Amino acid sequence: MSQILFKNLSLLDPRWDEARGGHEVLVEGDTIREVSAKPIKSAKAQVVDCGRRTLMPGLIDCHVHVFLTEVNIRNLEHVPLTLLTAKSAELMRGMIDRGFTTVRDTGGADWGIKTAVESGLIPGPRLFISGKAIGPTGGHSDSRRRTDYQAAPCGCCNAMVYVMAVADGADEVRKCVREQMRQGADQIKIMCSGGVASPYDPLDSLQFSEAEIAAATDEAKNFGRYVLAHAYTPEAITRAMTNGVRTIEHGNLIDDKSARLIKSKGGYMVANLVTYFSMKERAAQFGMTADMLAKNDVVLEGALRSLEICKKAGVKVGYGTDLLGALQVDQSQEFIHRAKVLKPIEIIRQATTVGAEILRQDGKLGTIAPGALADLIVVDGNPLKNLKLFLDQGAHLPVIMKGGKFHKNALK
Amino acid sequence: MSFLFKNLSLLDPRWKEARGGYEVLTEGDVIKEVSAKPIKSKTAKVIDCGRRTVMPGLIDCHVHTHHSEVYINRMEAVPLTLMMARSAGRLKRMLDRGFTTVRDAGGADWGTRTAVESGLIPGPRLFISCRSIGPTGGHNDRNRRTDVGPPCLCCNGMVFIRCIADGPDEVRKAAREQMRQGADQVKLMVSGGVASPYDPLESVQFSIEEITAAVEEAHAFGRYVLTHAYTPEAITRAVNCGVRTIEHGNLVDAPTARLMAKKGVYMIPNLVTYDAMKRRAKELGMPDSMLEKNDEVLKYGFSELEHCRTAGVKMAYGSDLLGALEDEQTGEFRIRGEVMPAIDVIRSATLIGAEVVRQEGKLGVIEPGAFADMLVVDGDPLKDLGLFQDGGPNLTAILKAGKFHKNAL
Repeated sequence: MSQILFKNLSLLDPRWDEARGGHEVLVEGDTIREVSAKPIKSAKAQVVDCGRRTLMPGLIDCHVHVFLTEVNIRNLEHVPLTLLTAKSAELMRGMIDRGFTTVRDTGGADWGIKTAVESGLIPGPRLFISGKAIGPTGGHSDSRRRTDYQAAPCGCCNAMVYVMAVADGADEVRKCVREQMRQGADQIKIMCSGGVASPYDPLDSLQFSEAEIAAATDEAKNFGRYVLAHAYTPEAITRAMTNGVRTIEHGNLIDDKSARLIKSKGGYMVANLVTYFSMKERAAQFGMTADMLAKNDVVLEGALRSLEICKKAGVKVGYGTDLLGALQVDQSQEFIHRAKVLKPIEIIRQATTVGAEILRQDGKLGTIAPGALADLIVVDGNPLKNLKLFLDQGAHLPVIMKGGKFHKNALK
Repeated sequence: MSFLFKNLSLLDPRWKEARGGYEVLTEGDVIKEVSAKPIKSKTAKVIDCGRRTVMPGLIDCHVHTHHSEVYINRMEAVPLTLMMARSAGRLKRMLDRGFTTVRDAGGADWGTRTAVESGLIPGPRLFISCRSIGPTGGHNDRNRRTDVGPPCLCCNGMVFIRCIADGPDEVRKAAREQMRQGADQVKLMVSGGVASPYDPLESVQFSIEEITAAVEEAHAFGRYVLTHAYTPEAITRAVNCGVRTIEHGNLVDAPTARLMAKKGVYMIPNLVTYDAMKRRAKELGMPDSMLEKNDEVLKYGFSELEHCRTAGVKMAYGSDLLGALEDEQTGEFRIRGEVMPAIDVIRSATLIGAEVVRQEGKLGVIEPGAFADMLVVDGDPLKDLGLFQDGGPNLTAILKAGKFHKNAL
């Protein structure tokens, strides 16, 4: 098996509080074989001299949508799946170029695109997929216009219907969850409150009954999967958590009490501040409508506070972005937004070790340790001192490796 | 962006030989000037071709972008997302081989064409047919005998690339639907085929009224009909109904060829696919029932070329390779080169291809006003058609619409 030896580097293991010099890392095949503070001997390894740069785990984004290629989601109605795939290929290349070697797709990506990346047909990060996002009639994942009375003729004629599902009643929800898992979902996405990018549902609406949520979490658990829930308000978060949901997405309007509930249940929050800031700044030019932008203002106001509330309650927060279409170039800006209230090491942990926990890949992803998958990046400087090194579409990342293979190597 | 190609031997397919001393100037996506004297340009970037041959980009008039399985029934298990990810590589490799234009003879949709045109994925210019159209039980009907029909037309790769229509009204509507979806031409199945298990090769598919309805409707919308046909009977019916091109046509005979010549109908043979299937399709999952039909049509390949040449039927270059067999796309040069002069084979893949896609003077030529689709070949293809083989290592530069896909100069 081929070996690659990284030398002359400063190792940023997110379990530490600082980067440490003098370490070497040996990769064999797709995994990390050895990490040592002493020189590693290997006769056959290809040596990469990192020139004293920082080596750290590849980044993990726990909330992306590789198939939401349009900022005004309604425009997905005009995108056939062939064009969707081509657009998505470009979005995923951008993600791995920025150092994200793993992403959790929270609604849309299917087993076809996951297979395409895994088999090397298109470059992109590891994908943990949810299949279609599931919500109730009239909720955040109901893709119909008000003038559409019936459901779409089929679930695959355009991108809009391909990424969302509607289910009503505990039995239908259970069946819909089973269907996503049959289609290869790694986790299940449900909508438990109103959302920004849907025009008709109030932000503070409670979506799905408790019995419906419980049916979803029961079925996911039976199959060895878990449920993530789109939820903004304390009420929605509370209903989700008491009915077995494992991770709360967005959660901007969380309060102390609902944060303590997440903590007591061992749940996670996946925040994504950047999407609200970027939408406020630029979504109108991409066709997002005024009613959606008004909802955006409401949740934007709570964004930074939600991080402080979670920190106080001891809730672990994953790194998320949730950016739509052309706004995805802002993916790494989440580091900068969070730095207004968190320390760099805290944010880096959110994008590595906490992300790995959320994906239930502790020890395999988000870490530089023997036995972990060889997903790593080399940074031109120390990100603990300068988070802006993650910006500029990967310009400051001379090496990006996924599964032991170089996506990029400018140190040759 | 403007490029000045110098120090080259120009292979204009209208000539019988490559000629030295020429220079070619491109501007934007077109060829601005071609001259036997030095061209002056202050802004153009000079490309020194090192005495290599410059010729028009190649045109393949019969490909299937989305047919990424040799045993095509396996497309049933391929979602459109995975299908498209595979097609992205297939399209790029066509361009790598020097094909700057392809006519998709069934399957590629407007989404695929838009992805290439907008630069999302590298690939040749696409002239699309959208879904191929055939009758119930014909070459196009890939339902299993145990199926009553698919629930929808987009849930997998198998149902996405074809449709069924019966009766002139349904055929007319199906043709309209493809044109609504952006089809540049309309594809009909009018005889049995190899890669379909149930229909006899010599079966005549679609009635005269059905073929006529499609032709009328295509003309009404400014498009034309291409037809899958193997036997003299099927070809004769199609030609008499007004179709413009015959695909495959292996079993054509002398009277049928004369009819085609008289009506100005083009033939698009694709001998390489039968040769490749004979050698490799079994290991790639094709069942014996299809391989037996393949053996039958394979016998007639060279006589087809002979009948067409004798009768004066214009033949364009086709390949029709399925799945992993795609890597033999330029094998058609080798096979035709065994019985035809090299210049005739090159004309089929340039000048005649351009006529088929109705782009005379725009594609397949190096002249002012044409699209700047050009190849720089390391040698003279008129002396060695093998220069096109092996995926394009002898193509030093590939230019599509004035942009380099490859430039090793």
